[in-house]
Amino acid sequence: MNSNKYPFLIVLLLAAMACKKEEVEAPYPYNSILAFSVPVEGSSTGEITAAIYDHTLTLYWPDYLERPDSVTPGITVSARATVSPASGTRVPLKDGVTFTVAAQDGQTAQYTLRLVINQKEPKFSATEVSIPLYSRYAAAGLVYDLQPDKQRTQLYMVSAAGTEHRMPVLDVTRQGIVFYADAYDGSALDTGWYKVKVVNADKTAISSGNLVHLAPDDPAPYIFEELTDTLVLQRGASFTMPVRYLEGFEVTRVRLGAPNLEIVSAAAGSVTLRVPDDFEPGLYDSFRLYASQTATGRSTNRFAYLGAFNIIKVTE
Amino acid sequence: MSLLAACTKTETVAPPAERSNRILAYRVTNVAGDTILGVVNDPDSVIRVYLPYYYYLTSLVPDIQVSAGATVTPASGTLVENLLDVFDNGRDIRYTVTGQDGSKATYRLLIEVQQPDFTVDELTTDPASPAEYVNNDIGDVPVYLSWYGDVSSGNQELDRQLIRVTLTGEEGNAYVVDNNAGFKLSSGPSYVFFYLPPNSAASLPTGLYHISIRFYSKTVTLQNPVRIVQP
Repeated sequence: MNSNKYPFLIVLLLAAMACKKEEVEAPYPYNSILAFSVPVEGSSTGEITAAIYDHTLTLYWPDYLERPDSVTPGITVSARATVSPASGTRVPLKDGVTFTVAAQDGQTAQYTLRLVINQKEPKFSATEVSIPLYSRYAAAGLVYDLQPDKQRTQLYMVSAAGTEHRMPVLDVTRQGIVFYADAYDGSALDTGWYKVKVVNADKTAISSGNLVHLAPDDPAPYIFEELTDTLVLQRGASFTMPVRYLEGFEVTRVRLGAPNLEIVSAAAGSVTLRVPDDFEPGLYDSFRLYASQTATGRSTNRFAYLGAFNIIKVTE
Repeated sequence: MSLLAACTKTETVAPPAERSNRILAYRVTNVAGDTILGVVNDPDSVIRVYLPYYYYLTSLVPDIQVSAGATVTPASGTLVENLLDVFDNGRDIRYTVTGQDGSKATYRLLIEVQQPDFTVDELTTDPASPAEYVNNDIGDVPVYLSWYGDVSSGNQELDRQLIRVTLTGEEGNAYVVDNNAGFKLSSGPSYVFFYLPPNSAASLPTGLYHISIRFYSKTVTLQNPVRIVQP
């Protein structure tokens, strides 16, 4: 045998083979998300990190910070695991978005995103109020602890039968809502007791009991226009606005800020106005219509309802 | 041959075991409604709690869940006290978890209050002529401040805890207003006012003072100083 020639070498070779351990690592079974953060402008640390529990990624998002439609989270997973969508991938910022972590051994785990918006719960006055129908209610405190976001606020009077009547909201501050005791959709509103429901940003609340008594009163004309953008008026331009309850009234004056607009014409249901040539350009947030009831001589003045866009811009 | 066979045997190495000294969950329980889940970050050994300002919590009652067989110190349920002091001065709050195998891990608690900014009007609009407050020994010289934002808790007694007014002199001498002394501090959504303390010439000598107002976790310092004149 050839090997007989080199017995020592063979022994050495065998010894070497015996010494060389062949280690095989078992694939890792770990498939956890260890850390999950999203960059957030305006937060004190520049990011919001998720609380990870029970395969849920909870992001506590304060209401006063901008909430983008999508984010690019940074994700740290268990050693040798992978995550899909990968860290740094843009994903929608909403409940139910899932992330799948695959361990080295192929076992997968699914994590679900949950967004908790930290917003104060709107609260209601402890005492009932009586509000004349059609009147503008501006006192603070009927509903409070609100986000001053008119675009995302709706107010409803809820009847005993559970019917919700939406009110035209003129302004929203932290301490209250300014609104007309008038049905947003123009339907007739009964006098009597109502619960109050408010939708404000991410919260919805309803008073535990009757809170508002709508008392009988006569309507007064007011401009009612659901604007979809800021109204921009050029000096010298004419424009027409719908007016509620104008029948039997004569428009006597329309003010934008302190100065008057020119009344071109007033027909049933609308008024046509003209911005005077010398009108001061700028932003105006007070738009009022003055009227006189033909039969009684009763004079009224009411702020305009312009949807979420109550600022009017006048340009040269 | 038998020696050769022994040598070709492969050895499977098990993956490293998971740590047995982990905090699995940290929950703040002393809130109405859902508990607040803390963010436990194992790689960084940090627990971060996002605290909404509007609960105005001044202490935390945590519920802590650890690895099977592990213990945590301070124990679950131990109060984290005087949060206002944590906001003002900072405090190192740590939890040590001892695993079943005796290994230890320490986590640091970080509290991040989610509170919007607020603003306070300057009392001195022209730095060349500081607003002047001539004090007396009656304690009826008020200092009115106008503030804006989501300020005032709506509860006067609570506000007197949440608000801290500090008058800092040119030499760095700081005087913290006692909100419950004399006529007491008053506050609302648009104002805060307090009275200069009577007989305070020694602690609050005549001079220029920077006013800072803390409301819960945030503090605003007026840019321009005011002048306090003692009798």
